[in-house]
Amino acid sequence: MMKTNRLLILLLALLLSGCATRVWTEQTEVVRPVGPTTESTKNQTLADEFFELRTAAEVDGYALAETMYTDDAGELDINLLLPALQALTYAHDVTLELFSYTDDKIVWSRVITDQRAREIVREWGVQAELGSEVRIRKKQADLLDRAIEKVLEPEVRNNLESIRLKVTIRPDWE
Amino acid sequence: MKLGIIRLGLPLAFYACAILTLPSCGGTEEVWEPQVEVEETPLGPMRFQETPGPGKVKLTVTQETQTRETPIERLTLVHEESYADFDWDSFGLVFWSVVGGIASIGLYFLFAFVIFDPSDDENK
Repeated sequence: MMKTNRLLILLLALLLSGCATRVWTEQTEVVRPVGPTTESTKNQTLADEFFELRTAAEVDGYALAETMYTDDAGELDINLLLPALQALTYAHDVTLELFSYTDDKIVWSRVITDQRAREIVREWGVQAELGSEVRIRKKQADLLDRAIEKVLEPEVRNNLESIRLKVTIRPDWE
Repeated sequence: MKLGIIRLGLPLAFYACAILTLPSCGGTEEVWEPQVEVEETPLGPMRFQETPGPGKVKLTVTQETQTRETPIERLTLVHEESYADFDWDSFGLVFWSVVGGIASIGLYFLFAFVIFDPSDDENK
C-alpha cells in the first residue's frame, strides 16, 4: 500500500513538472582558414540595386521620377507608357534616363520619339482592350487626360481612351 | 506518524532536488562549423541587357565581379538548457486527460460486463 502511495506521489510530481530543454546556437567571430583562397571573375546579376527612372522637367514642372530596384534575378521592368504620354502631350522627344544611386550617374537612357510614342500607346491600347490593368499615379493619369484632349488622330486617341478605361491609381506610398 | 512523514517527505525531497538541479544538466558545446567566406569586388561598370516587351522594356543588370572564396571554419557555441516549465494549464490538461482516460475505461467495463451482462443473454 505504501509503495503504491509513493508511486502515486511520484506520478503526481511528474505530472506537476514540465521538464523542457532548449537548444540555441551562437556564432562567434572566431574563424580559422581550412583551405586555399580561390579567385574567380564572373559576370553576375545585381539584385536589390536602386535606381531612379527620370525624365527632364517640362515648363509646367511635370517630370517622371520613380525609384526602382532590381529583383533577385537582377531584372528591372520599365514602363514606357509614361514617357510616351509625356512625348505626345508636350509634342517633343523625351529622354528616359536611369540614374544609379550606387554610381551616382546616369547608367542607361532611351529616347522616345513621337513615332515610338505612338507605337507604345498602340501596344498599351491593345493590352488594355484585352483586359490588362494600367496602374499609374494620379499626376500620370492627369497627363493621360491631357494627352487625350491634345491628340487629334482618331487611332491614337482611341488607344488612349482604351488605356484610360483600364487605369487604376497607384497610391503615393507604393 | 513520523515514519509516514519521512516516507512521504523523502520522495518529495528527491523530486525537489531533481527539479532544482535541472539547470546544471545544461551546458555549452564548441563546434567548428564549415563555411565559405566570400568577398566580392566589382570590376567594371554595370551592363544592361534589354528584353523588349509590349510597351515595356525589361533590363537585366549585370556587373563583372571578382569573387574571392576562402573555406573557413567558424567557432559556433551550442548552448543547451533544461528547465522546469510547469504551468497550471498544462498540468490541468494532463491531469484531466489521465482521469478521463481511467474513467472511460472504467465506464466501458461497467457497461460491457455489469449493466449489459453477457451472461444474461446466455441464461435466456
